[in-house]
Amino acid sequence: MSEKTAITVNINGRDHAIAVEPRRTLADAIREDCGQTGTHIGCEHGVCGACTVIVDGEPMRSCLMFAVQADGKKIRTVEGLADGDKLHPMQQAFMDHHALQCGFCTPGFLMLAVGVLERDPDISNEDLVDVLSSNLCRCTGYQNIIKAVRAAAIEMQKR
Amino acid sequence: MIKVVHGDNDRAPYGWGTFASRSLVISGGATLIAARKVRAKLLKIASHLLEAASDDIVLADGVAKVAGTDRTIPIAKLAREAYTQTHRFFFFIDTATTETGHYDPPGTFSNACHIAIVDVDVETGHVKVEKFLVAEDAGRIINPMIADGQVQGGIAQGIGNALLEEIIYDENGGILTATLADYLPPTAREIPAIELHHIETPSVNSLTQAKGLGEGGTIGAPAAVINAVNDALSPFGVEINEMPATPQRIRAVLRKAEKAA
Repeated sequence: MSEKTAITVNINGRDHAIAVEPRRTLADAIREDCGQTGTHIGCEHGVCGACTVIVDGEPMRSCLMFAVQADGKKIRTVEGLADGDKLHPMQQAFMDHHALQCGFCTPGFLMLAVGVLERDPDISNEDLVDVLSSNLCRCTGYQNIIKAVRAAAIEMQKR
Repeated sequence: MIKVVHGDNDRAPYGWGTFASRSLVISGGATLIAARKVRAKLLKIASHLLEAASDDIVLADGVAKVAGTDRTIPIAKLAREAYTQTHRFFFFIDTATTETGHYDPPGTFSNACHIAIVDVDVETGHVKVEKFLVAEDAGRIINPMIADGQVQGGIAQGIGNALLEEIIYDENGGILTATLADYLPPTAREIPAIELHHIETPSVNSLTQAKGLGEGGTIGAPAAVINAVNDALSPFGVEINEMPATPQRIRAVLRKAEKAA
């Protein structure tokens, strides 16, 4: 099982040619093999959502996907959200609305929210809370996260 | 520039703990002590540069100003002068603009009142928290956004404690709730809108007049939720006296009532 497979993943527009064991999760590959440590790993079994990234346009728990499955795919992580020094509207809204405290779950929430709003910009409040309930946050009590995502939805529509 | 250096026991003196969320009480107080020392120095430097008595100088909006005049100098410039032009000031102050404050006061105690409105489904035993209201007195509120966040987060943990979160062991002491699939923290779905009020009674026990507040949310919320659940169950003559009030536990007491009837 330790034989490595050569794959290429594109993270935030940059190709990473890496060799991974078949059992390597995408989350580990992103962090360990590609050095992009903005993606956090929480529960490692698909419950907490901290490792959420966007794979070919869809929010995905990178701990539930093998790296080899991501061969040739376009991945977006939290490092790719800002445009130079200018934060993505979602990041700005998280700051403005105090939607994070310890910050551990934040990369996952950002990628989940960005992915969902890009797919469904007019998502209803009810559905938005439903989607956001797929990720866990221990500090904020979620109210400010929901506020931030709603505010960002408006900003993202202006772009 | 203010540089914040976080928790390192090698840097900080021994204290008796951050309990009751008193990080702000301790570090805020220490910061205030250090900042007052720096302020006293800045006034002396400004007094020298502006050729006015330090009593006549006001520090506000990033500048030192001679009261009643338009003579000002930016605080950043004062610091730069003190740093690069030491020879001009060394005879009356220690020009290092670095100061230290130590502070470890006795306990401060915030207090809060929590109200939960819940809906109990007697068929399934499921509890939905419809609305939550809290009024907390944590003394002076220094950063309102962070204060609100602390209370909201605390309440979410309290609701989790009341309805969901439990560490369960089997008869051999093996833990059955070792993953987040078994141990259930609340999600965005379980936390209702929280109406927040602050009553600010300045504390006489802390330099900043602030008290801790994070734990106030966690401590009050479970009791409010369980009391609301028991109020909802009162027509059936039963009550829950164990947390979390899971659907299983609620159905169990209701079944007992149904059998007795």
